[in-house]
Amino acid sequence: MFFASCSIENRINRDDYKELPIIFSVSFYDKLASIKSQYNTRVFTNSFVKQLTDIDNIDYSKPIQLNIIKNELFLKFQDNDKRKFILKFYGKLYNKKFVFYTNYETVSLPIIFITKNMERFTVYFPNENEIIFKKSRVDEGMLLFFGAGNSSNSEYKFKLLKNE
Amino acid sequence: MNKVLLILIVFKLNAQDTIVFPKIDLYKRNIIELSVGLPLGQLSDKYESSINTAFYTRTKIAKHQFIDFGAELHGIVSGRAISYKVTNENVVLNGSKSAFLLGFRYTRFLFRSKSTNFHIESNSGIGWKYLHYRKPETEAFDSIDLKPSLHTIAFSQGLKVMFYGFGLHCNYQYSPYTLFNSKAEANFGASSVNFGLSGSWNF
Repeated sequence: MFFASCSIENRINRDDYKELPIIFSVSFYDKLASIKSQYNTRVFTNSFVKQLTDIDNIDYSKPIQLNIIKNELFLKFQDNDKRKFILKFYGKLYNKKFVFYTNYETVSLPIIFITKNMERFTVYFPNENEIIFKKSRVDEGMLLFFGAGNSSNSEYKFKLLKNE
Repeated sequence: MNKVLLILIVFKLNAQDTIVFPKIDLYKRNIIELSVGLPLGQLSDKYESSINTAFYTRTKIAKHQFIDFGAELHGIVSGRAISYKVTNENVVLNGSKSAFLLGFRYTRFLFRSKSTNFHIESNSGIGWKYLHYRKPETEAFDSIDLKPSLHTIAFSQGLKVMFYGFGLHCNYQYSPYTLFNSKAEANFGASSVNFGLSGSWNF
């Protein structure tokens, strides 16, 4: 009633995605991508794991290991000094996906003041050889008759390593 | 010296940092309630029952404490005529058909299961209550600016049991209709009790 928004929704058929067992482990190589700024000579780099942590010297020559044990997800990797890191997330295991949130904060006083900051990751296995991390982000707010918002979806797709 | 060096090397090889991301509370933020309200005491002369729908949005303020902000719309069943004072004359108004409540609720989880799928909560509310009455549709009242609806402050206390986002609730509501209005009957009544179903979602 108070909101009007429009977005393009691309429906993806996930019927034949792989079902997830309660405990499993896979590994994949993360990719370091460089982002060039148009008005700046600096080059920024980004990768899937880098955005979850502030560790700068991740060793990309070593695979990242992902373990899901019921409702917990672990990401294991190491840095250039051979120091090992484990990131642990609490989430929920569904039939064909694992969902975890890194942020979900809301203030809801309709008409007067509303804010929502949410970041969600969904892990899918479209087939035997691939893993997809879908990142959904919503940041929006409203104060009386003024509102602003921003939402984005991005996907990180990796080839799984076999016989690990 | 060699032994110390070896221990250091072994320690370096096994160095492992575990970074645990905090568990995000996915409490349900949007609540819809459907209930039946029964008037108590003097208020039971004013209507038979009410069908209530409510919508609340929830904001977390502490680990197990929340503020719900929302509104309730009540459809009055079999509203009975009341007498209302207009310039020292008693006028009979037709029974009310609707009531409205806008307010806050302080919610506290009394119990929450480890999986967070089951919880029992207490709701303590305060708000603005409005019981709608219309002026008689006769020629005599056409020129008179009369808005006989009753406005008052409402207090409520409820208990709710939720399981996987759905559950049952009951609450007691006290809304003294004559507190700010002396034109309605002196003992109008104030208490009612509601029983109903509740559902909650995250959009």
